[in-house]
Amino acid sequence: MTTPTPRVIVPSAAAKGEIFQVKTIISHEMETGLRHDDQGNVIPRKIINKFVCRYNETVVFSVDLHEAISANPFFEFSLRATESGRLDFVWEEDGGAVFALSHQLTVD
Amino acid sequence: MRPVARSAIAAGLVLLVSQSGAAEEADQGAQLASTCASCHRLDGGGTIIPSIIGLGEERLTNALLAYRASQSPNHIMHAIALSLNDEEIASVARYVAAQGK
Amino acid sequence: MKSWTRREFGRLTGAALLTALNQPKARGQAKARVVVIGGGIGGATVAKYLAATATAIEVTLVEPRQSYATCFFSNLYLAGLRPFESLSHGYEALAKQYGITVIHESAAAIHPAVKTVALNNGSKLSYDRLVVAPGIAFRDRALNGYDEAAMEIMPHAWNAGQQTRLLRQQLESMEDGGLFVLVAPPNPFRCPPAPYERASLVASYFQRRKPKAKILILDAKDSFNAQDLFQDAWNRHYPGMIEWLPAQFTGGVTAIDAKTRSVITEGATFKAAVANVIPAQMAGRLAQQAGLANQSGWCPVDPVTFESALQPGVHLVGDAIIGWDMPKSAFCANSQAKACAFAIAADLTGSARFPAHLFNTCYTYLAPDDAFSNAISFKPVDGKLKSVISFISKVEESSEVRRQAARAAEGWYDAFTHDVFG
Repeated sequence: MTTPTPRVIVPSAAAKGEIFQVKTIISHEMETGLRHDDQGNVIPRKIINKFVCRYNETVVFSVDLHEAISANPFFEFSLRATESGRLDFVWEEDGGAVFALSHQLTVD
Repeated sequence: MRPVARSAIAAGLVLLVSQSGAAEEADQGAQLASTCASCHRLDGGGTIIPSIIGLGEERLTNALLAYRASQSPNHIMHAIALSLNDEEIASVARYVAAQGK
Repeated sequence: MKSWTRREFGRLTGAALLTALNQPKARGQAKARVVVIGGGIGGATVAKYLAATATAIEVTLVEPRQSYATCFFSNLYLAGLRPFESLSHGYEALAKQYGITVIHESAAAIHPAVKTVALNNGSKLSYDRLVVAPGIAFRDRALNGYDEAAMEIMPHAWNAGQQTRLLRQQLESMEDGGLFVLVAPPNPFRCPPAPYERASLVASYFQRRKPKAKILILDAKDSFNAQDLFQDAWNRHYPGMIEWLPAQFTGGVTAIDAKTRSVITEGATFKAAVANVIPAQMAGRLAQQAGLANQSGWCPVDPVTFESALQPGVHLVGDAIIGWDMPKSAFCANSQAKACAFAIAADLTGSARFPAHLFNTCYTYLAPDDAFSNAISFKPVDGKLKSVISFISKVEESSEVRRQAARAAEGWYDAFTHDVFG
């Protein structure tokens, strides 16, 4: 099936103490496991079940997702810039597949 | 005036009224049939979408009533038929049937 | 010019035709004049139905082009599934068979106070009623950098014609592996499912010819028409090929850089191999100049007669009007045009009035052999056109049902264009 495309929009620099916006989206059908194909067979569930954002290894934002979440889950949240470093974004799919992106942030 | 003559005049009036009633029904049929023409060619031509020309009034009426009763097999005709009352179904069926002659 | 009566025309073609209505007011009087500006779907339909059913009215159609290319089905042309010529329809039948005077000229100005229309060639037409069907125009400065020159590099292809051919050429010459960016407009706009149908059919072309190509839709909205049907189809037919980004993620498209063929959003810039930029829309220029549009950019009308709420004696149909629940589609324009023609005929000739039946039916292609359909009926309620009955295809329909819809769509195109131009 589809290879999901994860995307993030994050500033590459921020002042120390500044609050900045993070926007993330992953193109994913979020198949609920409740639908049938035209032969009457159940289409197996395949959703993104977890999304985590880490800031220099520390979890700063985490979500568990369920069947009721619509396709292409989108998250927007705020973080406080404390130090330069790396933001890691991880999406986990049913069956164990993992999609990840990372982003360098300079804080001064 | 003698009663016979009076009733003759009355009969004439009734005839006039019913003629204009028929003309009005034909006009209503013509205006409703313009809706059909968006998908069904009224010259009897066209492909794939079934022709409604040459079917006869009763068959057209029954088809519209059946479409009005059920979403299956065609939700487009169901939506169209649901918007028509009995009188409108009768006049559009009569008008379209007359086009085939 | 001679106008054929129903009987004469029937003899001429041997075909069943629209019947003339009874027109009691018109007997023994000079013919009333109706001028229709704009020979798109709405304008051509008003002209044809007035000429055919209100024989006591003299109808003039003002349209600069010699033929009209339909926007609907132009996505099939973009996908290489239909020749461009098959989208093109002339005005010969309207002139010859219905006795409409067709003037191939642009309208320069409208003077409602004296009931005249000035044409670009300097001549003037007087009317008893005027119908304006100007279609859409693009909003000025909706996207920074998207000017006429940029449109020749990153076409909109939202009026069928040279722009559509340009986009097709670009798609054909694009290398495999290239990125096709489609910028989808904010509501309301012409034909709500069309940007997504375009993405679907271009994907079917890529799948056949450029299987490594990708499609990115940058939307001005956070959701779109029949989204569940499209997303289901994209996953089934073109896995991994089409990506859709809502405005809430990108912050919306703010500018175009034609030099680098880039689309700039608030949060990121996307460089395209081919870009199709569909800008925000409003009623056509003539409606704006003539004071027929309000602050929204669209034209307020009476929901029964389609007479302008701003200029008495002027009627409007099609994409340019505020249609409330009626979408901006060719089918709606055709449906409104018939109601408008019968209302004008009733006013000018005394023909009988009946409650109008307004509909929208659309066939939308998800793949060459997979189409869905919808059907909506509308009624005037409290001065607005409200949707009263609505059906749409379901995600779980069988592929056989979808194949039949794709075939029915072809039959519909033939019958519909015949209804408008034939």
